[in-house]
Amino acid sequence: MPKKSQNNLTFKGTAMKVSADMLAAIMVGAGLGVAFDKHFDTYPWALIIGFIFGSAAGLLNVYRSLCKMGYGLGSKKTKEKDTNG
Amino acid sequence: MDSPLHQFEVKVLMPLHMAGFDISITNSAVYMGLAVFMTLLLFVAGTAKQSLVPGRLQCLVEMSYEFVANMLKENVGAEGKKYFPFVASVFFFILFGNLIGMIPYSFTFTSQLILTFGLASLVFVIVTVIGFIRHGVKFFKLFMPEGAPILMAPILIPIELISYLSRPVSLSVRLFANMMAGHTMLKVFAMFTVLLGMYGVSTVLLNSVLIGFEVLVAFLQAYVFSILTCLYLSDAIHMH
Repeated sequence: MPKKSQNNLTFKGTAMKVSADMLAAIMVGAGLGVAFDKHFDTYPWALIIGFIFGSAAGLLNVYRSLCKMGYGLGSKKTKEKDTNG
Repeated sequence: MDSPLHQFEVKVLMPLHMAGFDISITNSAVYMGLAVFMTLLLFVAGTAKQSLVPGRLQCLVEMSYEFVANMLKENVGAEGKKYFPFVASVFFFILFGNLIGMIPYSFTFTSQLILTFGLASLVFVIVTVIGFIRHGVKFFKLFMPEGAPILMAPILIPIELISYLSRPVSLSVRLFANMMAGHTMLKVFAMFTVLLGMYGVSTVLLNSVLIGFEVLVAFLQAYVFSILTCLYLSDAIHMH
């Protein structure tokens, strides 16, 4: 987890983790939607709803994992950034 | 020249069909067995002497044991102790898979999405079962944040449910993507070396740096996989 110096490697790790979190939730949401559609023959609707819920869950995942790394609202790192720039 | 993705091909070494299932022994299966065998060998050899002043091998085994034990203690707490064998097996299996993959001409089984997904699903199912055993029906509270108005439930519950179900997917995709990307990159730069002829020295230098980087990634990904297992365990045990 990035602590002192935000060098290239830890940044890549953070980006990798966060993007996997986001993508996974969208995939699961859309996948559940498609499965529901196939079963009940309601083609686009469940996919659309599943995609929207999946995106919301993806953002929730991203927010949670960033909070764990210390980038949450009101955390030390965000404040430092605000005062600097 | 072979394509850079040629190295990820699963080859059947010994065809085997039993009761309608294809359980052929592939190069992937052989390397998985090798990883388990190497872990076993390290621990048996390291703990054979059990001297008071540890030698190099015993020191390595004790350090790696303590590394996993501390990870479990910091993230789960005292209740996590009984899940040590589970987390340690996952950690060493992935670590040895990644490290064996770094040897030239060997096969990296952690670069197969189905394997990482299988491992992550195993973690997911075990953690969910532990949660249900410890909390029973109360485990469903995980999907409804405390203090949220009941009117929000139709929106919040699907979101939390999808977020929970996406855990094994993100866990497996992360390990798979890291290993696959790293090995493909190494192969691409190795091909540049051949194509550039005399100037290939520059890519050899670059590749030797990248190999060091890949060894780091091998350790880091095994660590990330097992620390996330710990965090999910902690979620299931402490419910928050």
